[in-house]
Amino acid sequence: MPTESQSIFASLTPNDWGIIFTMLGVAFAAVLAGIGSAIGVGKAGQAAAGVVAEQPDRFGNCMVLQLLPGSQGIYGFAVAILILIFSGVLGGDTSALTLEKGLSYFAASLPIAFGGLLSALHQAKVAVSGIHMLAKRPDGFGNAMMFTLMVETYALLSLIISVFLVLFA
Amino acid sequence: MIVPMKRLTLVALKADEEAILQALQRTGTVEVISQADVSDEKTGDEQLLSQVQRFESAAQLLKRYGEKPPMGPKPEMSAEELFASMPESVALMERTEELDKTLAAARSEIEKKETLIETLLPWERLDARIEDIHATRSVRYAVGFLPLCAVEQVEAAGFAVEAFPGVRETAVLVASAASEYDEMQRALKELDFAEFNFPAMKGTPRMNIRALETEIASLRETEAQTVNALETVAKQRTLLLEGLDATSIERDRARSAAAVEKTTSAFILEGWVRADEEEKAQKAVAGAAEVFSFETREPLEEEAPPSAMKNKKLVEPFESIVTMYAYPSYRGVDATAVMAPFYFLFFGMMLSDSGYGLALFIGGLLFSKYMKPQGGMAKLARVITYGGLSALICGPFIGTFFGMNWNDIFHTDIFPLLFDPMVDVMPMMLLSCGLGLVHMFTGIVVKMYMCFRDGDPQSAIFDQLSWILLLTGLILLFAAPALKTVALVLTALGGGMLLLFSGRSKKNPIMRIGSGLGALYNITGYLSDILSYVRIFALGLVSGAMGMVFNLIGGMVYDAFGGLGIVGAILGCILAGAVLLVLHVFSLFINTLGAYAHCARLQFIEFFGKFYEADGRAFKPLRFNTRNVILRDK
Repeated sequence: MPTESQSIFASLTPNDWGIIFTMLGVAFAAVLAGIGSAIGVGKAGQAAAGVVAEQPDRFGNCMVLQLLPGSQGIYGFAVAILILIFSGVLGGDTSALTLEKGLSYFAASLPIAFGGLLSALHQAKVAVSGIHMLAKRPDGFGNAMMFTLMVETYALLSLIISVFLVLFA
Repeated sequence: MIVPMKRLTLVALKADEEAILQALQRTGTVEVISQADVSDEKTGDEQLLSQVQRFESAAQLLKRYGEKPPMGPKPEMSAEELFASMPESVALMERTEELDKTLAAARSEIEKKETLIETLLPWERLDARIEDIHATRSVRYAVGFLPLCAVEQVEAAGFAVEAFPGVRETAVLVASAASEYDEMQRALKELDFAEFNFPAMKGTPRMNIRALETEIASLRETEAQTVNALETVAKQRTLLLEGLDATSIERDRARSAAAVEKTTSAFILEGWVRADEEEKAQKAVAGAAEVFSFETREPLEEEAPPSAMKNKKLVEPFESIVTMYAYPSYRGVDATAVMAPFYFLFFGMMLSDSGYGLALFIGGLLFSKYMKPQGGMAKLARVITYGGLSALICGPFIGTFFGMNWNDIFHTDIFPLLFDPMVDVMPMMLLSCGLGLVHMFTGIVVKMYMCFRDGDPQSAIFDQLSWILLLTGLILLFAAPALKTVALVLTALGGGMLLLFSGRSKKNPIMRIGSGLGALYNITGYLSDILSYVRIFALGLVSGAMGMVFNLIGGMVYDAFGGLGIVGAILGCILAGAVLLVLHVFSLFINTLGAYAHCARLQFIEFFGKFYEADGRAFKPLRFNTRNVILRDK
């Protein structure tokens, strides 16, 4: 019965739609960036465990490299929280959330969601290579960290645009 | 600054070689330049090398048997004490190796015997003695395994069978008359018979199994005793680590000795010595030998001396950041002192929380005081301590206190004193980029200094100053319309210089303008560099947001116990406190890591890219290099 579902959507006010899209934005920012970081940190962690198995004293350096792809998840989380606060969802007052506002918040989540997801995945590849490099060249930590951080720049740029969009939505 | 080096040529009698090298190693002032092709020749340190490895593996082994050493600084001792303990530690090392061998032998023996028992087990109920099962004149035996259901068929064929059914197959002893032996073999083959050969032993299988079990028990006893002994030895594990350090020191000296050129009665040591330690080295040699020649000279143009950095105590820790990138070229500049203030400031702005700053500051101080870290770790600890101080200071201006708004704490509305990055986004971004511009300009000025120093003022003006003028002009053009003429003049001057003089070595005017245009195109690089400083703002924002959210979560935990009166309040406080502690420690860790790494990146890419010559190598003098003890000066 399509009419029934149609009627459900028809009964939603623009305010409801605004809330829905805001929530979607929160979810997108947190989930996609989080997935990227989870996969990234996971892969780097596997590589790190392999190196530490042979050379236990590399633990500290390996762990720092492992953590670098983890920041995207935190950026996504920060954007999600910012959307929650600025949209009023966290304060409980969502009456001002028009459809337009909700869509704006949704759009605001996209840069960090996708920028975070993909940059974390690619940063993880660099981190894994860096960890392998560390196994062969113990003094290569600084270089490995720099290579990995180069990717991070684009996650940060995504974060900044997301924050802008939240603040000016 | 980079310490000037001197090339040392030391000639002395071969008889004094060991004494002189020892004295030099004690001062740690001379890096020996290898004269011989050390890798090809027998270096003579092979025994020491293997001793180092033996110490290492013994210490590694004992790690498993001892308790984890308590947290704390490494033991302190003088070099004499370290060397005095050598015979003792060698003995301990040998004892450890012996115990390890005993243990391994016992374990492999146990394993062997257990396998033997396993092979005998199917025959446990066989009452015959193993040595009796052999062909006689009239009877032939077949020993082996048959599938479970096949036994009856063998019996049906008229052979005598003694069967011991097992789980998967049946162990059988089949007997036949000598004349029927071939027939029996054929019948068994058809039934998938697998022949079994008893190991060479006497007595029934059961007797053998019992005997083996007794032997295993006694071996287990030995194993337990050896483990006990290892555990006792493990209590002295630090002695092994000391031996390791002492042997490493000797190995280093042996390597240097191998690198020295020798005649029949004398040796010639070529090396680098810091100009400020020349006297110290000479004194050390004079103390060890009577006849010698100690000559130094300035490094030649074509020589590449190693780089050693010397800085004021305040900025010295930041050397660890510089060396993480690369050692400065000997003829370049030591960027530590110029970089340190920026690193300090940016770290604080990225962390931007006084609470976290305070935690890092106090934690860093305590760590340095009680753990007594050495070398690079000590420097890193102090960099973090400084960073904490910086964040502590930056907090009231642009940040928070453990994620809390200052105004909520003090009931005022004057905080943050500068900007709230979550509200005044644009000013905060401009501040970040503005500081970045200052940072980059500083880098350009250092490069100008280097050009002037090297007698190349043209490069300083046309390739470096021009950028400062051009960028300042462009920014004024947008930021301060009132100063339009000044801005235009600066832009034109800088741009013109770049356009006309970048290709000043080229004769052809078109080529010259072409390379000028190429140089101007670099403006994109400068723009992206400036934008890169936005990360200061972004990381500050993230650490503030994380702290704030964690406080919200803590508040929710507390509120959850709201309706339960005084008990609820106490419970809520404890639980919320625990939650807050864990979350803030996590946030502190993540944000410190981010600040540390991104600050370093800003130095390496945006700052060092402007001037740093990074093809140096570290000055590695022959010295007492210890990993497990802290050597005290006498």
